[in-house]
Formats: sequence, C-alpha cells, structure tokens
Amino acid sequence: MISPNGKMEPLSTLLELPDRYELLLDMPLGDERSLTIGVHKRVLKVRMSLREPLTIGEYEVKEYVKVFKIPEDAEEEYEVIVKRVNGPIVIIVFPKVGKP
Amino acid sequence: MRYLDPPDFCDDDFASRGAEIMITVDVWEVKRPKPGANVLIGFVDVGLVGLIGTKYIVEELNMEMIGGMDVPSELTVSPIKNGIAQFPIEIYYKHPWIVIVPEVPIPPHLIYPIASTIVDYAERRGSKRIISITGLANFNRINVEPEVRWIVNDPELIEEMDKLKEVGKPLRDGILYGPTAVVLKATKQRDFPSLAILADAFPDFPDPGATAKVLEALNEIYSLGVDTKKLIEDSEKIKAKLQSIASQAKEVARPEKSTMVMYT
Repeated sequence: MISPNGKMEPLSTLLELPDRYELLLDMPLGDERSLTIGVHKRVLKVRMSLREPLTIGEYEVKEYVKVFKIPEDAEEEYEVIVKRVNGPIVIIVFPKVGKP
Repeated sequence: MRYLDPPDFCDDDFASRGAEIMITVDVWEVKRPKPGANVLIGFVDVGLVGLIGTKYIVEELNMEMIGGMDVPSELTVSPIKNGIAQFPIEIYYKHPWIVIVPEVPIPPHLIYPIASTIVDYAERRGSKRIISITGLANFNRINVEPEVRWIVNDPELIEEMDKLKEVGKPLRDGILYGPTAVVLKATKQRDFPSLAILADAFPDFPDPGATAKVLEALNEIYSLGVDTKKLIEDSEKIKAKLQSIASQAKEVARPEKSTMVMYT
C-alpha cells in the first residue's frame, strides 16, 4: 500500500534463528544516508527516503516506512547492517532474550 | 485483435489420461506457431525470476503476442497496459521461442489446470520441449552469488544434458513445490521433454540478479541471444517497480508454499 503522502512499506522477511531474529528490508532506490531507526515501547520504526521518486500506478513513492512489533522473546537492543544487492537491503538483528 | 475460436483441447485422448479438470482454462490464439519451438514458462514465483525473465526476453527479442490463456470463472483479473485489457496469461512467439507469461500470481487451486493446459498446448503445437525458469529460495542469498541449478523430468528425453551439466549443477535431493513441479510431473507422465532452470534467489524479494544468471544459462545452452547487461544495470529500478507484485504473490501463495526446495 502507498499512502497519499508518498510513503510505502518495503518488502520484508523475518528470519527466526536459534539465537536471534533478523528482519530484512528490501529498499531499492533508497538513500542509505537517510536511514532512521527508532524503538518505542517495543515497536520499531524504520524510515528511508528514496534517491529518486518512484512512480507506481498513479502514486509517487518518496519514502519507505516499516513499523514492526518486536517479538516478545527478543531484546529491544538491535544491530543494523546494510548490504547492497541490487539496491540497499537493511538487516536489523534482535538477539533473543537469554541467548547463550 | 480478432480472435479465433478456442482450439479443440477437450478430446477423448485428453480424457483418457485420467485427468479430471473441473476448471475450464480458455486458450486464445490469433496465430499458430510453427512446430519445433521451445516453450518457455516463467510463473510469478520465488524471486519473481520467472516473471522478470520472460518479460525481459519478450522485450529484448521483440516478440509478438499471439494469444493468451484465461480461467474466466476464477481469474477475475485483467492486467491493463496503456488502457488496454490483457489476458492474465499471455503467449508470445518468435520462432523458435514460445514464451508464456503469467502476468498475475496464480492461486494454488489453479496451478494444476493451468500447468496442464500449458503442457497440452506445447504438445499440440509440436513443440520440442518445455523450459521453466524460476528462483531457488535461499535465505542466505544476501551473502551469496546466485548459482544455476537444473532439474529434468527424464534425462533420456533431454538432448542437451551435456550442456546443462556445463552451465550448472543438478538440484540435489529435496522437494519442489509450486507450478514448476506440476509442469515437470505432467510432462514426465507424457514423456515430453521438460526441464527447469533455477538460480538462488531471495524468497520474498524480486531478484533480477538471479534472473540474469538464468538467462545467461539459456544463452549458453540454447543460444537464446539475450543480452543481460541492461537487466543488471536496471536491476534496482526493476526491483522497485515489482514490489507490489511480489507482495501480491506472497498473499496469493499463502498457505501453500511457492517453489521452494526442502533438502532432506
């Protein structure tokens, strides 16, 4: 879904591993310098502006926004990795509570 | 565009194979392809490799749309291009290639009827073989370059086994889900040459990089003649534009799995 003010949720994959969760966000045409991440009451919000506007149908996308509820068994502290595979992919790692 | 009457796909031979297809799949053609063509299919599946690949081939080879397929009672959708309604599944042709492009994700309960109809179509048009292209779901794709793998329905039916072995490795033990699996099984039953070419792809994201690997393999084996340079250069824009389709594909495929391989 694209909001009238140009915000779109990026495609995402959540991987559950034995010791952590990894949230992958695919953000093609995104400007990595504009990446902002915040956590409030176990809700994560990720934003990234696009380097150039993207027209999908009649809408113009200017920013990716992802809101994600951190799983109950994950810690709020997270690590961020950005990789480039045909565009930026943001990986947010949440260790599981009580990991070995 | 003037359409011919639907071809006579329903006949005694088809019924005698024991297929009980309760869902009618319509096939429309304005031109009949010559015998001896290769049928290439790319479903909306893992990494959207099939969709990206087939659409890219159609554009690069400047292929002609000669018809389409539809399930009017079930597929209540029509892709729109420049204000013109299209068939959900389009058939393109430029000898020796027939490319079948499902423009929309196929709901799980329609996979078998549509895949069977495609196999039927390929047989009736005297095609040489069916080639399916798709992605191989790899959750570690972000850290690896895609590798080409292949699956054949019967090695004795495939003339180009040596070339296949040169471009990639056979997919080892596992279970294949989705439309590609259905096509391979249906052609196996009919002793019709069929194979699938796959490359490691993101399970949930469009993957033009994996698509380029598959197309390069097709170039090597079958002299397809498609330059993948533009695909790689525009990969980020292609990914961006296909996000909504990837999202729809995920919804449509639930709870059935898409083309994924489980290793035992």
